[in-house]
Amino acid sequence: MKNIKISIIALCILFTACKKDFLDRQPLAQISPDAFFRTESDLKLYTNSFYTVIPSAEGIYNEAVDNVVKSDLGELITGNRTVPISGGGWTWTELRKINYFLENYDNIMPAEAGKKYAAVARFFRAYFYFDKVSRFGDVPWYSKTIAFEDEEALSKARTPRAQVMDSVLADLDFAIANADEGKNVERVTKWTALALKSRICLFEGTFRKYHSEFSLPDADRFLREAVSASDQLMTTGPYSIYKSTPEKSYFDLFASKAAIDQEVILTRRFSNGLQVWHNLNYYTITASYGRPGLNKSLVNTYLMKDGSRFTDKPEFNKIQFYEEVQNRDPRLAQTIRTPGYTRIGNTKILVPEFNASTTGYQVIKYVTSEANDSFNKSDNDMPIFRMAEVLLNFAEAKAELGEATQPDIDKSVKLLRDRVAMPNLNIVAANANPDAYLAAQYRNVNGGNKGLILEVRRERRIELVMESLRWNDLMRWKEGHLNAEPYKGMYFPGLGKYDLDKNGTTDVEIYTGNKPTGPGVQFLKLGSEIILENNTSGGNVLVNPGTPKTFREDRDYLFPIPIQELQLNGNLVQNPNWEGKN
Amino acid sequence: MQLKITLFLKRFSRRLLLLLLGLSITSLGLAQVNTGGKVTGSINDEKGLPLVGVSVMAVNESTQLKKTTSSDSKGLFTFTDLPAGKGYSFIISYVGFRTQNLKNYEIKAGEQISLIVRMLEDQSDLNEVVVVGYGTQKKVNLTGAVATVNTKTLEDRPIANITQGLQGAVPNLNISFGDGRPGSDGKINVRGFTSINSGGSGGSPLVLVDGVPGSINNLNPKDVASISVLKDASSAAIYGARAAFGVVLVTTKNGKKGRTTISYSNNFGFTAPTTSTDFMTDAYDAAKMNDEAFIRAVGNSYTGYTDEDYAYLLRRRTDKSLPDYIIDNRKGKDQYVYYGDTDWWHTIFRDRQTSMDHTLSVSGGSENTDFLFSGRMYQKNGMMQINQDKYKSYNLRAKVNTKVNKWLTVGNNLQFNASNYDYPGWGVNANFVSVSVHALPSYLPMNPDGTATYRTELNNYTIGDGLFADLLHGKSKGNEKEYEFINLFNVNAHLAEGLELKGNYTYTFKPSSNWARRAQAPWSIYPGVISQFGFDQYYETNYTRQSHVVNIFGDYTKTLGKHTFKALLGYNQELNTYKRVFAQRNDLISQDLNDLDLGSGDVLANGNANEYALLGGFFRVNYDYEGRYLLEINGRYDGTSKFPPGSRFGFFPSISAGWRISQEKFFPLKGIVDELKFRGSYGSLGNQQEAAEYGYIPLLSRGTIDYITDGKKTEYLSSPTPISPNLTWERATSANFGVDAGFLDNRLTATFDYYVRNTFDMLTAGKTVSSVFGAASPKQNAADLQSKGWELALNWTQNGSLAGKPFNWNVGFGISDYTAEITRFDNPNNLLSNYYVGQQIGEIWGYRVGGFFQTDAEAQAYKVNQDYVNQQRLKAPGNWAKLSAGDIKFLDINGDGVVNNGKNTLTDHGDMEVIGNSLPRYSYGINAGFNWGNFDLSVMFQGIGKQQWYPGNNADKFWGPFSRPYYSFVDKDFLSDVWTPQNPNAYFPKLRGYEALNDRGELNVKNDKYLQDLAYIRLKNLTIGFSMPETLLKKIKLSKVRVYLSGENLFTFTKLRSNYIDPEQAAGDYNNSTADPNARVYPFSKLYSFGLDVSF
Repeated sequence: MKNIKISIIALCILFTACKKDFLDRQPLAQISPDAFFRTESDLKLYTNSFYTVIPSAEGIYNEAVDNVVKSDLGELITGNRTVPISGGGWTWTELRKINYFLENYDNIMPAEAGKKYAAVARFFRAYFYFDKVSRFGDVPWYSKTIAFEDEEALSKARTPRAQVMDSVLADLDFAIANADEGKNVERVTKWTALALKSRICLFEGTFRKYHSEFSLPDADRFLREAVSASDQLMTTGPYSIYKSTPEKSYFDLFASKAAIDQEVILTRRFSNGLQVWHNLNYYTITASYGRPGLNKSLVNTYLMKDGSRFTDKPEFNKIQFYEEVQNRDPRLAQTIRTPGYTRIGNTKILVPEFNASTTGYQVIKYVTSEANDSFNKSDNDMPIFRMAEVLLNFAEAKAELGEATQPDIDKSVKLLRDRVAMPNLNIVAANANPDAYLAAQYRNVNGGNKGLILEVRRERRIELVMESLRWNDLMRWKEGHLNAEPYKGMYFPGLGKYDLDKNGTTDVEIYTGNKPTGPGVQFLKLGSEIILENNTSGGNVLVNPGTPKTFREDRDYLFPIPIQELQLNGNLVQNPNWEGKN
Repeated sequence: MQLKITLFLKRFSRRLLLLLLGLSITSLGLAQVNTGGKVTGSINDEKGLPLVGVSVMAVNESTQLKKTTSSDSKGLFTFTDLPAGKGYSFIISYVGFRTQNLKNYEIKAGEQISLIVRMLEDQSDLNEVVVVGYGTQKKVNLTGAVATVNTKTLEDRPIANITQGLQGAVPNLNISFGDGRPGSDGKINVRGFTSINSGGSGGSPLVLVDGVPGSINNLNPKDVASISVLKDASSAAIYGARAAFGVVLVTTKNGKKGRTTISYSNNFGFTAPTTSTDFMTDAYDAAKMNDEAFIRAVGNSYTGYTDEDYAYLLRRRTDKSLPDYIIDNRKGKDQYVYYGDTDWWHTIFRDRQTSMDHTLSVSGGSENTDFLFSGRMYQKNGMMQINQDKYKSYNLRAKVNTKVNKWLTVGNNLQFNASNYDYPGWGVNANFVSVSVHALPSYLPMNPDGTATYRTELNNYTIGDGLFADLLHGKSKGNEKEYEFINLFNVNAHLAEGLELKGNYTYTFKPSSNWARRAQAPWSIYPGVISQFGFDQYYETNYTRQSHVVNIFGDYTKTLGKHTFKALLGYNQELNTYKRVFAQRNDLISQDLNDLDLGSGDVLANGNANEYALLGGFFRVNYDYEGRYLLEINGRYDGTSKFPPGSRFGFFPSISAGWRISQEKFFPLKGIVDELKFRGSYGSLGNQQEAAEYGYIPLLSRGTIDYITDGKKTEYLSSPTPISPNLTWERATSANFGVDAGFLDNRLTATFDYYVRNTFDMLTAGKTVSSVFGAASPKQNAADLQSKGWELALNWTQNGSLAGKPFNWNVGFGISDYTAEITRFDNPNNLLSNYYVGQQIGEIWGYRVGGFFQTDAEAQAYKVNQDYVNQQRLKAPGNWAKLSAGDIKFLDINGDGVVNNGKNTLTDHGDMEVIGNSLPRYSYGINAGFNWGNFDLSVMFQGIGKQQWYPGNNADKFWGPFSRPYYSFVDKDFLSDVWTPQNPNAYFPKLRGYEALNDRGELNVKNDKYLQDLAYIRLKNLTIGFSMPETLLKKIKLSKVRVYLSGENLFTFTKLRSNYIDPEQAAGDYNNSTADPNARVYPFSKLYSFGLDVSF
């Protein structure tokens, strides 16, 4: 019997040793919300998560639209757009993060202490909704996180655009009033909020003005808000236009390893040490990243150095490359390879390469030294907001309101012209003789200020190329048709040898039949490696002439809502003339 | 809930107490003293070797006397005092041998009888004892679906781990490998895809080693005594919520009483690839093809070779005396221009690699103690040419059981397993991806001055991503280590006749670590100028896993006349902890030393930790009437920490019954059918294994973004992942119907099982929710799945003689199949982007293709708009963007004039149809063994009857330049497969790069023309052995000497249309969804080996 007794005793000990809470296991390495939002650094840590929406470097430099032409035109450019099943920009994860913060940040901390972080959150909410509204027009407004069971919220119809944008304005004003006032190029501050407000309000004001089909009110109110936000930043903000020598300052601003925070308000930093790189150098010099080249229509708009118009020259479209780029706005030679171009830290003179540039206007904006030439090895900072844009926003809003005075231009556009030693923009002269070339592009500009508005748009396109603002510009100006224009490149009178930099050696040879030979020459077979408007009779380089491009005025100013979302929420209505709603 | 547990435990312990008390009354007293006769005997096996520990029972029917003893180390046994009388019989039984019943002996007082017993090995497996949950069961009495692996077939296989030997061994025990790296672990699955929530792996079974969760891949294969696979709910229900995906029970060997045996065995092997490695190495063809594919997609040449360069390549094709490079001024600089004909595959990888295996074991025992000590060393060299990768593993086991007294046995089973893998380059599988691009045959691996090549400067690409240059430099490398220390202490109390109480406690300590180093590597393109590429970084990750497992269970067996009862009651609890530490430093001050302390640059560190606990009580009752009617009831009440209080516990019962109709008096087929049993079972199982440790607690997510603030990557916390508050067990019910039959003196046995399994409340992302929700749909118990399948095993065993020597052979065939279908899923619009009700798991949606347009006119006249699936063509430059001859013609199935996927729903799926299914069907294994005299031969085939695969967009060895134009390893005869006007019936369309790579290219969209069938049959193993004759052995005083030749994966037949991809590799992990669909991983290999087994 002893064995049984021992066993029973052993069993009893064992069972009593089993604690009741054996199955109660709490997380060891993760934190639950009720243990958070306790200190200011908690709030800061949380608001850090919002910075994921700041565009990647590619989201900045990899602009296409009608500015930069690539070998692959993409659905957006060709107008060959379809309604996506899902995705398509209709993502809302960021909003959930933001709203969650706004609901919880003052659970423990006094609201006052958390205000500057709430300001950051509301900045990003404005940023979020601006993106949604600019893509889709009316979108449902949510100021709270949605519970999974909340069918009412999940099946909410769109909120009218006017209402959404007023809420965006409220968010921006809160952010401006409460965000940090210190200058910080990496973080959202009062100044960043002003810059965003300037951008958003100009967008909304001009959109409402030019898109009468949507019957939106208050265009002027938004333009005035754009003026006041820009003005506040210009007069009270700690920023100015970076200047060194006219031939370098524009280029240096973008090639600088560290953002020049004299002008740059918010930047996305890159770092070799942290192994955070982008692909800009490789993108501009390799064959398989689309071979970006500036569009001829943009190159044409750079003024002559004396302020006169290149497009006023007789037969300006038949001027060959070398002549074309002489005596132009110095920003041209700081945006593309022109004769005499050398890489940073190298004296070897380089010419444009067609195997890296579809149009021959090979871009150099942001390009750094050869050390960064490998795939994804560039480490210069990318500007997200810079003062030049704010000045242009100011000038444009004023011009659109019809309230621009020469002093307004002097404190905005002139500063950008001064940087590159270009003559100032004169309102009277501009309005007296609106540029016909620009007027043909921007068909919807009318009225007494037409000349000024066109000139401001010229300035904006040149100054802000490759900063990914162009798509929204065309949308708000209702000039989407510019996307559907044929994209062109350099002019060549026909077959033959060309010395692009007039240094006495052949750089490019366009041929048919057998490939010629010779050192250091780019041989381009007509019809396949290079296509000219009039074939052997020459003309401008054409990119993908066989690809039809369209822009539907009745449809393409807004993006379609994905089919799946319409199926999941019966109250969502598709944007006009996009299929997919049954 | 807490109260419930306590109550349960109280009830449980009270019951056990009563049980124990009640039973003690019936326990027998000591044997009476009497004068009688003596019986002695010796027991030997067929070869005349003594058998130790054989149970001998003396029975006298008339006096109801029963006495048992067992044979000693010399195989002798004695009954000293049997009462005189007639009618004695002696029943001699031993596992693995036929039970003998010697009848009608008479014992006379004072006299002695001597018996000589020669035990015959039991050739039929019906009498075999099978390990089941918390016990054993005679195979004849099984009522559930339990299969066993014949571990003998594993013994001489030159395998790194057990899973490599289990493929094809048991029907519906599915083993798959993601890659063929040395020591590669197999993924185990029982009865196919049974849950959608496990990352598509379909669920992996509970693997218990000696009753405790363990890792089957870490074991020494020679330590394994038996492997049982519990397939249905009734056999697995005793493991309740742990067993939803089946259970694999591995039992290790024990020492045997008797003379100490020392065994040593070894194996030496070398491997070869299972696929062709004879890639295109013609420099001219490869460069031309590449440029052509590139120009047609992008508009300009890839290589940058001029016409003179091409002319040189063409000349050098026939005149190898021409130098394979020139130094030429290009773009104003003197540089190397390469005209090689490099075989990059064999520059970087080896075809032949060696392996070896040494195993030593010492086992034995005395009357009260048995022991086994074993050790193993396995080493396999890998296929990297420079700084060859090397896998090593070590196993140690020390197992001792001792009988403390009459009723108490204690034992300890300690094992230590270690493995180490060193590899060069950028990652075990990453090496195979990097080099698959940009290494053209015309490029040289090294410059004439011995420096590495990296870029040609004729374009901006990097040869093989620079892998070879890096390997040549030899500083980038990595290591993976795994240790496992497991100690199992067990107590076995024999409380009374038929009543046993067992307990064990196991502690597992399992640290593992890996580190990797990237270093900068030098290269050159301008003669005399050396540059560096890459970056310098070192990281190390350490994982620590621990577990504590306690099992206490008692069983009781009682026979009352024709009724036999068995009961089992037990308790189990487990605690598992996990911790991870990761640290990374940049810019080390040494190129050769690898340690965090050497870092001079940026620091990154992070970690993680979690734990979970399980506890449960279980029972089993068996009843059998005369061995004819069998009934078993199982149940388990299980709790887990992974669910919220209130839904932590689940009860998982099962019932099964068997009818051995062959035991009935009326059974008409006696003599032909020796054994016929019908089995049926129904039961339910739970699943918590896929649930997150803290899945019911909202937790803030944490991360780091590449957005830099204050000189660092930015750390953040963000909103909690939405959770569903009432998560609970996933529950599976399964009904199983089986037949076991034995024919012709049980020489032919057959087992067939059919099952229907319903998985309810699968814990998965719930319904597709509007994007405005802003997060992934929280995990819920939201879906049901039904799988149906069957398995059949046939075995033929024959003993005879041939040419005067014993000739035994056996052939086995196993086959299984299943299908699975979604029966509940919240997807009201039946979006094809999510699961939907009625969906067959594995179904492949795709388009139908009507061949190629043979003329431009035909293409232009085609009324159907197929732009949607021709995105790559539309991006092409100039005329290449036009639909023309050689392009694929897509069929407009729904007749709307446009080829597309409609709304991607079940009601509107455009022109897509289900064109195939990626689940493996008709998995089979065939094994056969022959013994003739001293020779033995075994063969094993394994294969799959049908499994469809659409090659991934980066499947370089399938698509060649149709994916990336610049792939390094292209089929030698690829060009003959490409459409040209002269080759109108080619397999592939007109050459154009990126068609397979980029979204909605004509080869990127799945279509029926390029859908592959991975069906294969593979000679998994062939072993020929020779054992030294006994007469010779006696002279050299050894008990066994055997030499053998053994080969793995010796040949393969497959329907897959590529000699360069192994079908198993393409199938990848179990159901293909977690595998690399591009088969760009460490390749599989075949292995030839020889070995030696010695025992003394």
